[in-house]
Parts: sequence; C-alpha cells; structure tokens
Amino acid sequence: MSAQDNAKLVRAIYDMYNERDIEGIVAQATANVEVVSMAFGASMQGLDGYRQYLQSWATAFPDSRVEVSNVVAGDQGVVVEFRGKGKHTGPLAAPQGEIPPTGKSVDVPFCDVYQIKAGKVASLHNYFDSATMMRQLGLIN
Amino acid sequence: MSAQANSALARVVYDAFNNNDIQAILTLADNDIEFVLIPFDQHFYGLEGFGEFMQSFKAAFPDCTINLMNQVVSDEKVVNEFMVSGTHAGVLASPRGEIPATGRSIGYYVCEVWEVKNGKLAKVRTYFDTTTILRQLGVTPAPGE
Repeated sequence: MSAQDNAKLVRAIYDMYNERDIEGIVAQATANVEVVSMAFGASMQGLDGYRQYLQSWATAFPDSRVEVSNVVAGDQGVVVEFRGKGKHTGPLAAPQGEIPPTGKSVDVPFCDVYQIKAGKVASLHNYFDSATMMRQLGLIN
Repeated sequence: MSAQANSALARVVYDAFNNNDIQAILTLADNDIEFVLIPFDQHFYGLEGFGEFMQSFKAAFPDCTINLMNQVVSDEKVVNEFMVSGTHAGVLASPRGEIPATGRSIGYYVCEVWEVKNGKLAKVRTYFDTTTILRQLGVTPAPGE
C-alpha cells in the first residue's frame, strides 16, 4: 500500500465513527489487531477488542464526534491528530472503574498511531491526556 | 527533505537529548520553532523558548533518557513514539504548579508530531498522559467540586 492508500483507509475510520459504523471500522482491521490506550495502560486484542474499544467511547459519549486536524501517512503507518467532542451521558470505562455519567461536555485532543499491514489496521496506539478529560468532567481540579 | 532524512533528524535530536547536548538540538531547530505540550495547551516559541523548556525538563529529571520505539515518516513530517525514563531529582515546573523533587522514577509514553522545514525542526506537538506521571510521582490531583 502507498502512503496515500494508507491515509485514505485511516481517514475513512473517522468518518465511520461519526456515523457510528463500528462494524465498518472493525472490517478494516486484521484478525489479530492490537489496540493500546496509552493513557489507561490498557491493551485490547483482536476484532472483539477493537469493537469494545470503539463501543466504550460511543457508550460514554453517545453524541461524540471526532474532528481530524492532521494526518501523517507513511508506507507502513499513519498518524491522526484529532479532537474528540461529546457529552458524557453514559458510563465511562476507566482504569479506576466505571465513571457514571456526569452530563458534562468534553473537547479533548487525541493522537492515534496506526500500523498498516496489507491494507488493514494491524495496531493502534491511542494517546491523550486523561487528566484533561477528568478535569472537563469535573472529577479533578 | 526525504522521509528518510526526517527520520534521521529525529534520531539525531533524541541522541543529543540523551547526551545532554541541548545546544546541538538547537542548531537543528528552525529559528521560529513552536513547541506545544498538548496536555497543558502550553506553547514555547523560538530557540529560546524551546531551549528553556528542555533545560527545565532536564533540571527536574537530570538523568532522563528517551527511548525511541516507532516512527511514522512522510516528506514533511515525522511522528515519534518513545518512552521517557528518569528520576525526579529537581523541581518539576508545570502550568498547574511546581512539584518539588520526589526522588521517584518515572517511565511514560510520549507521541511527538514533528513538522520539518528546510531540514530543520519547525513545529512539535507533544502528546502524553499527565495522570500517569502524577501517579508515578505519588501525587494525587485534588478532587473536583
């Protein structure tokens, strides 16, 4: 795959998230895809893991949208900087346990690093500052 | 610049950081460099601002090293995933306050998005999790209202 093909593949993922086409996203990944939340120190394996990862955001922030600000595409990897915006009206899965809905809105910068193998997502590393999110939720000062 | 040259530039900069050669890094940066700490939305401008940030970080973690794990490169950009390790032996300054030396060890993951202009480092956006760092330092953030 060329860098351009990789960029196209990954950009489509963010459009699909905004349309809540979780299955459409999962269909872009290899069977043994690995998703790592760097902030939460959590690693999820396989298509089920990827599905749960995406669903957990959609559950906590049902109206959430992702807005891509920058894409860096290489022959084997793609990086996406984006903002995640939404209202916390569902339970949020966090390392310290489930956080019940706060009703607060968040707007948080994220950076996703993908490895692409044979036109599919082989791994995803998700970076963000969880303190920024917890502060916006009113949970820390 | 080729993707290969951008990759090499980043490696040289991180090696210089590990060798405490801040001056060498500054010769590889654009005069108008902008360095952004995403968690604090904190911006450092120019060689002076960038140099001050690096000196202040080295003062907090004098033995700190960067261990590069992965790069994604294009003709104009290079993204670097790495681990920062070190001992908190000096005052750590952040927009949210100063943390006196705790003597504790840290090890956390960082993702830096670099924009390269004329072979020099022109913009850096740095992503990391401050909750992880505070936990490693044994500092608990105050609860919200």
